[in-house]
Amino acid sequence: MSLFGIGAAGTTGSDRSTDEAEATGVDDGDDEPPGLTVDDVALSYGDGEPVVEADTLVVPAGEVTALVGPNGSGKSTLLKAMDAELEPDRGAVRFDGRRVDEYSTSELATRLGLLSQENTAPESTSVRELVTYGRYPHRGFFEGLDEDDEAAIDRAIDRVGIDHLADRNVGDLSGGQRQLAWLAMVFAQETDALLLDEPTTYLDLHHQLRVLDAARALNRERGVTVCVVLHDIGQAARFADNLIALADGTPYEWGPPDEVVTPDLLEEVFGVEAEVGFGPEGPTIVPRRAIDGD
Amino acid sequence: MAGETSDGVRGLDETFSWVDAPLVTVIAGSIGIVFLSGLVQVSFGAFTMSIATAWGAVFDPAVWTNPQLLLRLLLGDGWGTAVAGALGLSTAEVELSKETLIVWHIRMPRVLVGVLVGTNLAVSGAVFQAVTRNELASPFILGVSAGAGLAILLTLVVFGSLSTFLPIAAALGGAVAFGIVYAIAWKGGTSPVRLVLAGVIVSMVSGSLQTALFFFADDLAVVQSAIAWTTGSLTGVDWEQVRMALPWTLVTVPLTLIGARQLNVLLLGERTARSLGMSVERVRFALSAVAVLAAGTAIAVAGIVGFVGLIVPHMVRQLVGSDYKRLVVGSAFAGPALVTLADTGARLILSPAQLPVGVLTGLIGGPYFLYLMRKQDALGEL
Repeated sequence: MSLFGIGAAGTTGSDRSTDEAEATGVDDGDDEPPGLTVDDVALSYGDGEPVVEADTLVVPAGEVTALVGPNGSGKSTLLKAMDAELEPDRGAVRFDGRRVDEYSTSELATRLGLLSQENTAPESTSVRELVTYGRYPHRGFFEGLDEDDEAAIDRAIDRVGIDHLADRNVGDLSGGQRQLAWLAMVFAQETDALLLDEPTTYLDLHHQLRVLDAARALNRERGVTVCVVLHDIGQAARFADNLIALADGTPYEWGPPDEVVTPDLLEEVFGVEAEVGFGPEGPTIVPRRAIDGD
Repeated sequence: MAGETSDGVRGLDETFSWVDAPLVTVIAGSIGIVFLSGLVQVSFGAFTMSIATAWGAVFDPAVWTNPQLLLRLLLGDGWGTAVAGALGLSTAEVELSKETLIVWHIRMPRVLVGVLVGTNLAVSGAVFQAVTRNELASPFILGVSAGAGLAILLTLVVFGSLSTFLPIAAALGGAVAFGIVYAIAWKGGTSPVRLVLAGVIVSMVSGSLQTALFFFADDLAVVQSAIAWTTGSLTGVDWEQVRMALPWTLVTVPLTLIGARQLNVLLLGERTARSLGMSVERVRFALSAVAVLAAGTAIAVAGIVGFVGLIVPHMVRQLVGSDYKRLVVGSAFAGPALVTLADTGARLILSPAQLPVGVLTGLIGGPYFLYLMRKQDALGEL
């Protein structure tokens, strides 16, 4: 991955996917993990004007893709279309080659997970109980938890690193700890792909990194495709293999961070004059001043 | 073989692993309260007997050694005799003492109906609170009770008699009312306050219609029983009411227990429930139907006993937490405790006059509702 790139310019997308295939080959055999493609879609709420219009976007299989853009640029709307919550006015979103709206709700839930932006659980729910709900799509109507479920729950708690919180009640946790518990719930779903809707907003820096690191580790070890909406473009550039930058509901640019993050992008999409440096860990952004917008 | 046995044991162990100490305490405490209230109930009345005599009558061997008697009480005279005959039991009439007759035929049904009413209302309230994700929800607050009441009065005035399917009529009326409340409260989603207000509106309208119906009743007796009935009363209930409510209770409570896992997931919010693969609307609809049926069953036999569905799940939640498996089981036991306790109070407070039990639950429930309202800091906007 980009961490091991010799030079920023030398790290191309194809290098990454080769690494990725090797990394995931251990777990998944020959199966290529599924990706998401957006094909000429228009998205709107009700009868209004389209909020998002996009020609072609790819969330590559087995990689981490970040959706970035200013408030109201349509990031979360695009995510909703990927999760089949919003039916496109035209075009289609495909997951593993099939339109997402052709999957049944329960089938999609076993393959594509979502961590939504606002999460509430009754305060007296224990963390372990919460994580158990992640197994919901895998259990039959009358089935109890079997050994696979228990193992998946343990793995998820372990992966997120909240073993010590497992018996605490959600109501007693800090905001950051609570987000980790919810992340573990989505991990327990053990899907091929994960959508994370602004998972780091309102968290302190420590927990922001815990969330992103856990998602990154899951991607690296199990080859799970991750698509994440992030507020902070600097964070997104460090964290993701690919960026999709949205401006006013249309993709401004998409691809590896080195190619996407430019002073022009920051000026035109984010309204910020900034210097972009190229370090060994991808682009670094030093914002200088806000540009007076229209 | 040994492995299989231990597997079986562990399976059983897991099946009941969710039963914890607080839940056992709630169940045991509730059973105790029901028992004591029941004992007080059966010993007071126009024909006073000592607690010991009443106790003796409840456990009168003449009753317990003659299954045909019990069958006749539970299934009705015709069916009971038929089943007893089919099972090869004696169908002879049994001589019972006066005390035993009074306790078994007049006083015990009241306790049993109280138990069934409490179970159904509590379970119904618990389900409504999850389906609407609203702690203030209950069949009474949401207008379901008023709608069910209206449907029953209509049935009584038009057809003039009770039937086994009165709970169904009540459930239909309750369902219509709930539908209207939801439609009024809907604004791209509902808020607790809008649901409560819509419930008040629908309750008021059907209250007026109920009063209007009195004018069409033929005789005064019907009006009087109708009035007692709109406040919710267990006075004068009989084995007939037990027979009416029991089968439906055996439907609603197991269905709610089966639905407990769905209710838990519903509490995580619509978006999360959906992303976990739940068909949210379908599940919500099915579980609401169960809750409406449970409320309808209670209302068909006892009238509109208010606030039980609000108070019980809330109190049980404080004790056992919000996991719905525990909450439903706890409520199914605590509901009867509240209703039988309140009914004992209703019988004794102004003795020898008897209050309708709904008056008492209303007196407890009103302040409790207020307390809940004050406690919820974020009720949300209109």
